[in-house]
Amino acid sequence: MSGYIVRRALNAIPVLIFVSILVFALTNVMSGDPVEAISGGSEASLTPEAIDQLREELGLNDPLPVQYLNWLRAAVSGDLGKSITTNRPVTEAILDRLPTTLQLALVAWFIGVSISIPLGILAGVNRNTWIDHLATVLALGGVAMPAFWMGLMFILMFGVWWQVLPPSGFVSVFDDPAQAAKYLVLPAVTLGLHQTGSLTRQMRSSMVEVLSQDYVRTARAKGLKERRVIIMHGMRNAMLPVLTVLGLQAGALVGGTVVIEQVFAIPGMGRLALTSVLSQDIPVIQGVVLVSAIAVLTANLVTDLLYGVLDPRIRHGR
Amino acid sequence: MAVDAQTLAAFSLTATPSLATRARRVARRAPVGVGALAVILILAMLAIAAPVFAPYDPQAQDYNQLLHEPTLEHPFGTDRIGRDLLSRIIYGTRISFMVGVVAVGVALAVGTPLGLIAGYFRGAIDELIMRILDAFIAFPGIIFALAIVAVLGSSLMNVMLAIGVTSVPLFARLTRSQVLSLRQRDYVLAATATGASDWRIMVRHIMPNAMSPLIVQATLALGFAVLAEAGLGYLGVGVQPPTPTWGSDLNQGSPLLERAPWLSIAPGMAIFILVLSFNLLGDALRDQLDPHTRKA
Repeated sequence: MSGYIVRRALNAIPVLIFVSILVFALTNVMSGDPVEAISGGSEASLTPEAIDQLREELGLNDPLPVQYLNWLRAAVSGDLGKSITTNRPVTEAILDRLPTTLQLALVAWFIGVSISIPLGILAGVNRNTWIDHLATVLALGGVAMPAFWMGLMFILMFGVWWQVLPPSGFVSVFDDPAQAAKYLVLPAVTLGLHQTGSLTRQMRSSMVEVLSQDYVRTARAKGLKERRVIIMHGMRNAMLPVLTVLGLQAGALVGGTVVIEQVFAIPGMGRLALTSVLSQDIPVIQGVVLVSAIAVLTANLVTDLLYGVLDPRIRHGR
Repeated sequence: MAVDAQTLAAFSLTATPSLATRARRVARRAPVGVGALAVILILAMLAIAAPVFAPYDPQAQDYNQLLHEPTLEHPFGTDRIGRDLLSRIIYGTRISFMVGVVAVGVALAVGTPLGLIAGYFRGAIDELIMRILDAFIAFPGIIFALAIVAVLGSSLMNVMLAIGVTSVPLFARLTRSQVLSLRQRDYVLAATATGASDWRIMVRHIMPNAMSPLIVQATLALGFAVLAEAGLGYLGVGVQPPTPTWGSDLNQGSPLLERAPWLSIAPGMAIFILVLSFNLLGDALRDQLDPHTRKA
């Protein structure tokens, strides 16, 4: 097992390096001249000597690989530079917002999983019945509906017409758990429902597949209760491919928080990303992109490790 | 069993069904897919002939009808500067289709060759391509698109590129997995044995047989691209006003959710219908093109 963990973790290293190169390239090479960005496009107001000095200070006269390594060294030690608009360290700004986004994402993930897994199992077991059709309709609807629009409609219904839940805003669980739950219901349900589409479908088809296997027929033939057949023989094996989808969805979940935070006016990392995009605050964008990519890679790593725990074939190199 | 030539000829004549018969058969076998295709074609027609179908100029401002709720005159209502929402949605169809087609085109044009090369040559080049794509996949689509638009500026072209780039790994991986299984087939080995060049084997023998899943995926990706464009538009970083797009209409309408809910309802419905149609069509194509699921 430990060999598998080490192998898998080592695999993540080249990917991480490419991620960092991409982030560096995206923002340092494509965005043109940082000096111009810092001086707010009013480069004319700076003397040529001042520009030169600024370039030297920022290390812009170094060759690109050197610039990259310097940037990487700083990033690894937690220094992602300073925001152009607020002059605040990027790491601090992100750490400020991260708990909010994590609360939203985790609750949404939990809601998504606890709807789609049972629904997918029910649909797979009761193939071609109304439960199956209902699950298909819900899944298709969840995939095709824009998450932000679903959120807007929820606000309209629960916040404006019936006024049972606050339409927007955020309270941290650490400050006031009861209020926090109230504020978190709509955004988390929206984001959670958005995840259910592909999860439900994967769970259903995986369940259908497993239930047609010989070992399930054997389990039934030896007189096991149907409940036990479905849970012990069916579900456990059907969960494996679903786990992969769960891992892959981490990206969609992190990305989804950007729109959902905007819809519900939640001051999380997603909103930070958006405001920094609108104000062309390149260091902040760079930081948010890097942190979200690392979050996704971590989720994938955890998924793969879990896969190894659950499936001995993987662990022992098939 | 002896069959004389005449019977055979007569049989083969009747056995070739007319186009109408074949269409009817497909419609019976996959009614949902055909229905979805019909919806897509209708919306495409609206996009092409928007000036014919739209009751008003999408930019025309009627100062007597500001933020007016839906009426017979304006079936979807008017926005805060008195523009007819129905006309804006009809014109918005254009952007949605254009973004969908171009973004998927970019993803196919870049992703397919990458997957083909990786799967065909394997080894170091495969490893390199796939690790780079893994890095791309690590970026959540919308955040990556946001970053691209932030760096390059928000124009229609950049939005299409950004969405297209985020779908590249998907097509590359799909193509690669197809190629990996196809390159072991006898006909590919036979082509190699007769001395066909790598290029010829890839283009003439492997690609044509790898097309089905790519077509299915491209259809689904069209839906994804429409959703992504709407998302960027809603965030205010997509195609910029005053161009009518579903996403930016929602961006402008949603702050008025309480006073004028119709501004948020209709564009969202439009997105939902088009994306759902692409998804249903993609599913139907998968069922028809993949013999495994057709049997099941």
